[in-house]
Amino acid sequence: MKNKILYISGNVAAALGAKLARVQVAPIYPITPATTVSEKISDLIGNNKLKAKIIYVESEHSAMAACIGAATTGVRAFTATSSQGLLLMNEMIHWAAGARLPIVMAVANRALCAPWALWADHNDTMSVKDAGWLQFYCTSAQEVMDTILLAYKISEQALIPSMVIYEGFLVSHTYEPVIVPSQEEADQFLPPLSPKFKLDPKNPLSFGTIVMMPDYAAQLRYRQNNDMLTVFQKSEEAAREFESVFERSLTAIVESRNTKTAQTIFLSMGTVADTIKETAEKNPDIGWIRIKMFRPFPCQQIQKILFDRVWDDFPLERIVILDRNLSCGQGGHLWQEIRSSLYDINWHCNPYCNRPKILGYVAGLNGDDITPTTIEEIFKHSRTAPDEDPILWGKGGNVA
Amino acid sequence: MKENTAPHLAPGHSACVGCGAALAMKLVVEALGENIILVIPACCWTIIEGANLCSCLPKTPVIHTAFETTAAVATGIKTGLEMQDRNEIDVVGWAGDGGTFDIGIQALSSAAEKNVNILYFCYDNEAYMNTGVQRSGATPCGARTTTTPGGNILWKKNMPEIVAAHRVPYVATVSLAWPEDLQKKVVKARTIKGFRYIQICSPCPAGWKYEPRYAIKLARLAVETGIYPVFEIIDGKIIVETMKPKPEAKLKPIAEYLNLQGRFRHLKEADIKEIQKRIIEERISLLKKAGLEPPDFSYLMN
Repeated sequence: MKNKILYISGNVAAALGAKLARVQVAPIYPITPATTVSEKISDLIGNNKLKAKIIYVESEHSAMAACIGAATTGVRAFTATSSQGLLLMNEMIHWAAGARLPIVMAVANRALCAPWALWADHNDTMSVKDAGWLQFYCTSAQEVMDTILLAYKISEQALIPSMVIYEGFLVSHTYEPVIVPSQEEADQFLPPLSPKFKLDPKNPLSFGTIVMMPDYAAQLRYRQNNDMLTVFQKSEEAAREFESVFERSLTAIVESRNTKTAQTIFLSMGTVADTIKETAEKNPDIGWIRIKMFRPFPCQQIQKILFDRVWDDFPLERIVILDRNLSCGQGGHLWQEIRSSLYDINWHCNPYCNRPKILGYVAGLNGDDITPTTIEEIFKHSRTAPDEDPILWGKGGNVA
Repeated sequence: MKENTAPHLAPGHSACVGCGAALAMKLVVEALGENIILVIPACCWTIIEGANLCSCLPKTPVIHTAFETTAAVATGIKTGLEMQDRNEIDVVGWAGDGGTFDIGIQALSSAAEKNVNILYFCYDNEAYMNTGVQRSGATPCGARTTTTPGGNILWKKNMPEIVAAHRVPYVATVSLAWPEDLQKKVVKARTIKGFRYIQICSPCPAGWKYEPRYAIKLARLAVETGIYPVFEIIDGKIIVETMKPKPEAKLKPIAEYLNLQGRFRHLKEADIKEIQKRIIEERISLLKKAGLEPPDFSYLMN
């Protein structure tokens, strides 16, 4: 069978990704804007295109609980959610990570309430960045589908669950041409799941028993942390394998352009990165880095790109970080991570080099459009702005 | 693989002396035998099973989970097993009353409504005992807990009938004082397909404040006074034949049950009378639902 090109939305792409991964159990619960993932999964199962079982749970909390139950029997579990639903399942999100279950979940970003909000921002997934899941932020329907396959591959190797994240409506409901590979190709990339430990009366093990010795509990958590750090290498290998099987490239960690000579480098996640890309094509002064993997955070990968500039003839003047999220009282999450990551770079090892300004902009909350014009305005603003506080872009912020 | 000759409940569990929940588990896992998977949420049994790589259930695979998720996790497991054609395995929920009557009722209702093919046990010790005796929806009227220092003013939630209202095939309450009856019902439940619910009256020495030697005596008195009747609801119908006390039987005065327990020690005579009155009302209501003419209970009010 050959590749097909289908004109589909991000949510349908997520469901097709799950289908290509041959998920076996999918507990589902509706929430805008992730609902159509569950609808498409139901459709695929109903039409015998996917051999799997739906569980009609009564809440997102139970959706993740059912994923945990299913995954512990050794099957591939999948669900999708958004916003308030992600918040409701918070307890079980942490549980799944601690239980080391390779569950993959599609998350269509949506702003958090109150007040009631519908449109995209990253505050929902940022609220679970420390839960011990891998987080992949995607920009297109194609990337969503591809990343679900990639995520299962990495998750099952590292025994760490994955969130495949994309902005609600901007990706979830936007129709795009998507290359859909054949099931044979997908099977070649993602072999059947064969977990080492599972619930089985023939080999009666206890899962998640209480740990009274603090040092043992700490050991388990440290191991989880250290396994998380192996994910960079696993991801690079998985991306290379993806390319050889599907004959298309797929970013797993970060991608960047024009970072060698540009005076200004933009860092961002999600669809904003595409808008920056477009603006940068017309302006050689702008380079960009897109962070696809937010957890684990690719500190060294980013340092490596930027450290090249310390010895360069073209000084890097400023790093502009664009966050579609806000940690009230502290600024954007990406800005915080980047500031922390760049602390290690010794800019003064070249006496002619100064540390570039690091400017954090918060924009696009609750779906506020970030257009090429917005990027140009931010670029202009950044040339004179001091790099002290995070800048709240737009009406009501510190830039009106 | 070597044959597993260990007992179903091995020595070394960490329950209190006189704990009903430990005995309840022993009776249930013995009756269930092989091919089960146990789901245990936050409850006393989180601790009782054993800490630090030890388990007192050497024949049973166990998954521990969060407080409110027993039925949801069990549903996930059952579905995962069905995908692998391992339908011979029974998935068994094992939750306390807090995890069933209160925080777990949403997931329980969802699994019951869908008639998911799982077996759900609630060992009911009538309060949050693992956290140190706080009131739950299962706490009986009058009982003193740390959060109802003056005595609980509300009547116990009628969980068996709430579950039965989901049109599930099997609901039963059982008592540790009749272990053969308990095990018979467990074996019977295992032959039925669909959502099955068994609630075990499970005395707790720390919370009920009794001498450990009275655990079984209290389990028996709870039935004989009518405050914790033993009955089955099969396909929505209350079964008359297996009811305890028998429909025509005389009930023992509730004071006999209350006076053995520290949690009721503060009750005045008038309070006990009120509780007695309510027990009679509940008894009459249960018998009527079973299609029976209730006998005269006025002897209890003299």
